[in-house]
Amino acid sequence: MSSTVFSSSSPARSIFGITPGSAPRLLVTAIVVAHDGARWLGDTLRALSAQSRAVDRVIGIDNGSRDGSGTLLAEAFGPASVLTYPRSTGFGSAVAQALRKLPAATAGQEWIWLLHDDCAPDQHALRELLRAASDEPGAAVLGPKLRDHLDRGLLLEAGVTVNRTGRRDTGLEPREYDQGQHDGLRDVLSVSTAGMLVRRDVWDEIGGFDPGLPLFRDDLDFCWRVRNAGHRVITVTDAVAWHAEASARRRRPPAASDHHPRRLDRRNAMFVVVVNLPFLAMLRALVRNSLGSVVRTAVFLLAKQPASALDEISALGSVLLHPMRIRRGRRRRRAGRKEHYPEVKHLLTPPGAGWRRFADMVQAFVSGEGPVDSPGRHHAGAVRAVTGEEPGEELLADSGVFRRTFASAGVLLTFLLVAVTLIAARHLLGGGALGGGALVPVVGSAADLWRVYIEDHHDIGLGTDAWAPPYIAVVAGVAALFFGEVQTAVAVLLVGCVPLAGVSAYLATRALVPSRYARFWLAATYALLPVGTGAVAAGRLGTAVVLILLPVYVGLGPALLARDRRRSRRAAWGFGLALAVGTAFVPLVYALVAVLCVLAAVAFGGVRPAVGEAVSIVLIVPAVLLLPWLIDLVEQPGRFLLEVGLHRADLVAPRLPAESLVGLSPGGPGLPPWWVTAGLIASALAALLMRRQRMIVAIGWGVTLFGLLVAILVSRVNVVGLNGGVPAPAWPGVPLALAAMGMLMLAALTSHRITELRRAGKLRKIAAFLTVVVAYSTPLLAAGYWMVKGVTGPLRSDMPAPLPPVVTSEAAPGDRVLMIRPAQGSAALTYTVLPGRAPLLGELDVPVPGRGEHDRFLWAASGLLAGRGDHDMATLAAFGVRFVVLAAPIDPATVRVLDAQPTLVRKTLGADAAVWRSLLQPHPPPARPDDGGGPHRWWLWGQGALLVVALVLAAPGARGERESLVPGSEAPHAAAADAGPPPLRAAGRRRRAGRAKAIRR
Amino acid sequence: MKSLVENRFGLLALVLVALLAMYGVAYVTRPAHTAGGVAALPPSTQVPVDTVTTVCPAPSGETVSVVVPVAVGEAVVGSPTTIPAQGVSGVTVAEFRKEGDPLAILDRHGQVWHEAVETDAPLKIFGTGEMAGLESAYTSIETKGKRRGLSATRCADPVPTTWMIGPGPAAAAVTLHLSNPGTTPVTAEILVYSGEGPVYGETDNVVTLQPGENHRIDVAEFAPSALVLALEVRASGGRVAAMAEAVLHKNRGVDWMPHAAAPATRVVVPGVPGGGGGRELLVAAPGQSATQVEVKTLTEDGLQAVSGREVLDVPAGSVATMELSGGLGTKPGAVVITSRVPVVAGVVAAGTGSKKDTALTAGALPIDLGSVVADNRTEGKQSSHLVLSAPQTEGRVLLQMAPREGAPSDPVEVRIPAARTVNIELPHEKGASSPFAVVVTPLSGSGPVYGGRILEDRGAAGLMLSVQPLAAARSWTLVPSLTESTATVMP
Repeated sequence: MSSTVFSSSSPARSIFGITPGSAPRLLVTAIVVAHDGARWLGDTLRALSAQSRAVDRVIGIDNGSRDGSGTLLAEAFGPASVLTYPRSTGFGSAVAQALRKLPAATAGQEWIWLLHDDCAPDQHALRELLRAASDEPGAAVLGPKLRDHLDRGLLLEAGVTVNRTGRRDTGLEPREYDQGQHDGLRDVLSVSTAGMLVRRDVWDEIGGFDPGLPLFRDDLDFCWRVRNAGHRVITVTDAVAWHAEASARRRRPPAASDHHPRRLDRRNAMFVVVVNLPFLAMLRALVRNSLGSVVRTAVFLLAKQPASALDEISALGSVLLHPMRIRRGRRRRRAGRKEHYPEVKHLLTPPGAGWRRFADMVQAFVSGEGPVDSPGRHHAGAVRAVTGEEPGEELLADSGVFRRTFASAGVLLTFLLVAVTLIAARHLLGGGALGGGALVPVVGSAADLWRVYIEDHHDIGLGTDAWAPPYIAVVAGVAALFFGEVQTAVAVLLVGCVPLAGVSAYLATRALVPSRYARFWLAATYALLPVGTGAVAAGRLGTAVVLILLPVYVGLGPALLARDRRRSRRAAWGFGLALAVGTAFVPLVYALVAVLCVLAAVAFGGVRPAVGEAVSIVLIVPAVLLLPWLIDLVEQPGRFLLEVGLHRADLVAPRLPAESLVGLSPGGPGLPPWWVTAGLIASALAALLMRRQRMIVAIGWGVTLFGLLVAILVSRVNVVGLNGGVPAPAWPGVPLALAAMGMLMLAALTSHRITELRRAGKLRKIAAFLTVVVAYSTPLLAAGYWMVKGVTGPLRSDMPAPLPPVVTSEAAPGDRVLMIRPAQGSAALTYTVLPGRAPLLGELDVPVPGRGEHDRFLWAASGLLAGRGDHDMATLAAFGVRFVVLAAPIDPATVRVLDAQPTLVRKTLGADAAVWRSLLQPHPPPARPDDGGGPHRWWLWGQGALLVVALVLAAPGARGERESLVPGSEAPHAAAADAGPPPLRAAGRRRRAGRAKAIRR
Repeated sequence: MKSLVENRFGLLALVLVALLAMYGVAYVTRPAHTAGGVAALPPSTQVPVDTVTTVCPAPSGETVSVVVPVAVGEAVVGSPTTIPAQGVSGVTVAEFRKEGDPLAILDRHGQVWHEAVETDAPLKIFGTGEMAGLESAYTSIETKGKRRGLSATRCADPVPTTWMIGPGPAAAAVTLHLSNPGTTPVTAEILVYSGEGPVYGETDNVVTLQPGENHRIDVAEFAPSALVLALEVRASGGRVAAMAEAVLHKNRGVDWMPHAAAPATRVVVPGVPGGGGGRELLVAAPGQSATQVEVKTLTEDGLQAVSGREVLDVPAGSVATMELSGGLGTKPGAVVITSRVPVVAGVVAAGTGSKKDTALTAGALPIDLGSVVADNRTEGKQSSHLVLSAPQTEGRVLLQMAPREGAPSDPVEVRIPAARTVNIELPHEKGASSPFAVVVTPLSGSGPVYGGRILEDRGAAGLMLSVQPLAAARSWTLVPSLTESTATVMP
């Protein structure tokens, strides 16, 4: 016990009675560094003493532990072999100081074995390391294979490398289990300091760990320098050590530095890479690092983690703003850097790994696991808490990208729906502007749409000051995601409404319907409803968007009834915002949701007092956001039943049969037969036979019947579109979608009975099987019909521009065009006034009031077409009309009449259109003085402010990092494994917590 | 209630009942026929015309008649809309390109202005406002000389396209009068189809007319050897008033070619006068296809084909002739032509006597909105007939005479049996000043009526006659129903 370790002549003795090592030529000194690691230290010391090849000398270093680690070390090695350093000493500097005190061995080679307090080596670890050291010439640093301390099979590290941004890369999959797949002796860039075996003379030659890197990346820097000096760094996989990675997982707070560990980690990573690369490579790495840091900072800010963002940017700053430090570091490492760079380069992370990691993160996020980082080090344990699988099951799962991607029902659903849509819309692919049916051919960019929304005087029709419909602001916002391409945005929203509605239904009902298979069926059926295919075929952009948003309402509705007031209020703001967007497209949805919300408030008001407040938020937010436009709407009540876009008689079935309505088929072009939804209705009716969950079934059927009633009402009312037109019944798409949603929800919520039935007797098994077949018949039949028939409707992708190029090229700003077209199937004519260019999306939805002017205009236009005299064109020119366009089908009699007008000169006569140009000078309407705002501008600013406020109030708060930074507490994943399968809500919370931890590093 | 809900089938029954109720409601409220849609649009309406301009050829002492008739009876289609006050209304008769006082101003309905005018420039007659629906005619009677004969024509209004058919320069001296009463220069293109096919000159037959300009073109310049011809005058950049006068060689008479109806697959040539004398049918097939036309005559005995002359071959782009003299008997009537491709038709009628006169008539449109003839005379040996034909269903029209002075006469209803022609002699008012206008207005429910006015003068020099097919009156025009709709933008 009294032997001093510092004399080389006397062999070391410990209380364990280990005999000195065998080969006198190799002297091994083990250095165990402890810092508040009493939990694991016992294991480590026991493992050390049980080595098959015993160590010759041992030194214990206690870095100011407060939990008795120092006592443990002293008990094991003797107090003379234990050095105590202050708490702020880093690993590297502690080892350096200890080695300075320890004289080198005079005979033979001395090897230093570094051990952390939470790193317990396997029994034969040292023997394997030494064998490899003697077999491999030039090996100066050797490291064992590291496995997880708690989950003994989980592989942590077998050699570590970096990429040029300093990111550690072990080359392993996340949560990879050791089955010998990475075995074998290998040259690597660096090994971890846990279990590292270093040649003493090389250590002295290199100078040990850099004291400027107290906690992170010291090993990397050391090994890189070893390489640059011409030695080899090898990982020996036959030697195994179990490492708890306590400091990295932040289960103990680091005291070696007062910097936040993440900041330190990033700083050190960048520093090491910058000082160890040759000059040109360093410059490239610097640029890449800076850009990467900025991007990561932005991502953290968006993910509401300002602390991480601050860490990232301050790490970058601390590297870039201290060039002298870099210069000093580079000067010190100059030797051998350039010559050995080719082999070092070979060992750095291959370039594809970055994309691989990105793909891993994306697919993990998509399949709901939370972003998984796979440098393989820190986060694997945290993720396990949530999957709830039995231990050992993961061994059976193949972790390839393909399997992982498609194992998720959501991703499979998305792929299937996208494939069905692409096949069905094959005629629409690769065309020009999408248009037809209710959709005016889309022209212009997002900036044009924004301008239309903001300007207070619209030059459409005879000029109007009415408010622009708010939906163009929403479309402009969506188009901003597509680089300002409105055509792409409209195509995605309209044709892609089927897959988007499916995804929306799948994700939004996550909290309500836990079973993945039920949700899959629900989302597939909802997406392929006749309402959806009909909306796509007729170009009904409004219904398409509301179809995507309806599941969001259904998903957020129960959240309003949450017990937690804050959560209920947040859901209410989000619901209000979504409802505002939906109302901007189809005003009817506001009435539907309002009725249901008020009923829910009345029914649940007594039980949950927050419901009243939540419902009032939901109803008031859209009303206030869309106020001026809603006021315009109220003046023409029939428009409440319409949606955005043109209202045309040929898009609606005027005598919709009753069975069509009950079969959820709204009439119009592009629909499957009405009995396609029989499977859905049968499933919903079958759910009525269940004895349990009557309340849910009753509520679902209540919603369905309400939707049907509104649909019947809507489809029997004749409405004249905005700015005149042919009266036609409104289209009952949205109420029928609501009815379908009611049926789908109640069928999905009661679907777990099918699994129970399956386990019962044979008859019930057959019944269950039949139920599933019947339920799936609806989406399969609908998909089949749609794919075979294609998008059969007026929607086309090769829509010609409404105005002939003669007009658009010659029209001066301020010129108007009178466009005349014979109504379908009759000799009557319809007309409209356009501003000399194709109308932008939403311009035709602006009401143009002014009855007196309209009557005068109508009188003059009728006279022009009758050839009544010579003055009509002058009246029209006073309104600014310069061109008269007669569109197909062209009647020769009308052509003759217009030819006979003395002041009209015919420019073209084609099959599509005939154009006349007036010889009179149009008097453009007097330009309104741009008074720069007035109430219109103020209102727009207020609307924007209210929108920002609503967004902030609806956004989920940043999940605090304080949650998980609890010093010395148990491992979260251990607690979860003990608790068993968690209840739904708690799992959600823990999942969020796990994900939050996984994002930070 | 609770027990109903508790019962396993109770809720199912409740929901099924509700669904059946919904079905019933939807079934009952289903509209019996499409109430909305295109059927709900207002129909066409009839509105009064706003301004009219006509051009009469240079009178040089001959008579010009102008009348603005009073609206007779009810409107045929819809109800006439009230005219918003448009400013001053009246008819001015002025010379072309002459500023200063007009020759006459008319401000009263129903009065015929009938004067012999001495000027050598064409006359421009302009009506606006309530007086817009004017009708004007030019009549010339020569008893000796090369231009011996009675030639009368309805003064033309500027139109984009004019068709005329008649004898060619080999048989008559044809003069084409083109006038541009508008305010912008007009280009007129003249296309000629002769018996041997289309006539292409060395230069394009294109004439540019400045505002207020008037050209006289001798057709012999570009089709010297055509015996029969059809003329098309196309105007671009405005409208042209075109009239053609044919002075037949060998003193066989003179007449103006009336405007023919645009090429159609069914043409009715009304107003073929009765009596002996040659009746030659001319059919032109402009375009690229030859055709065979079926010819039938429509007299007071009915619609019949002429034996041996039922079918006429017309080569593409040329004019074919057929002699119809015996086919009509000696009765006045009309000729009905049906063809596979659009054709233009006319009839050359020769008078009897030692000194002959010729009358030209051409295909016309039915007088749906009424028709006015400004110059009818019954003094001395002159007589005026109206020959009305109803080829399909029975026609019922009202006739009203408007004298030079005094009130118009009471309307008289005339029935034309289906597939028959009726010859009405216009009354011979003894003592009353004879030039009068006649207004023909079809009654609602009447079938299509075609007609012509035959003016005859059995003077010492022989029978002189002229025919004017009844053309649509200019008082009313049909306005198609027009509604504003943003859906116009899409096909």
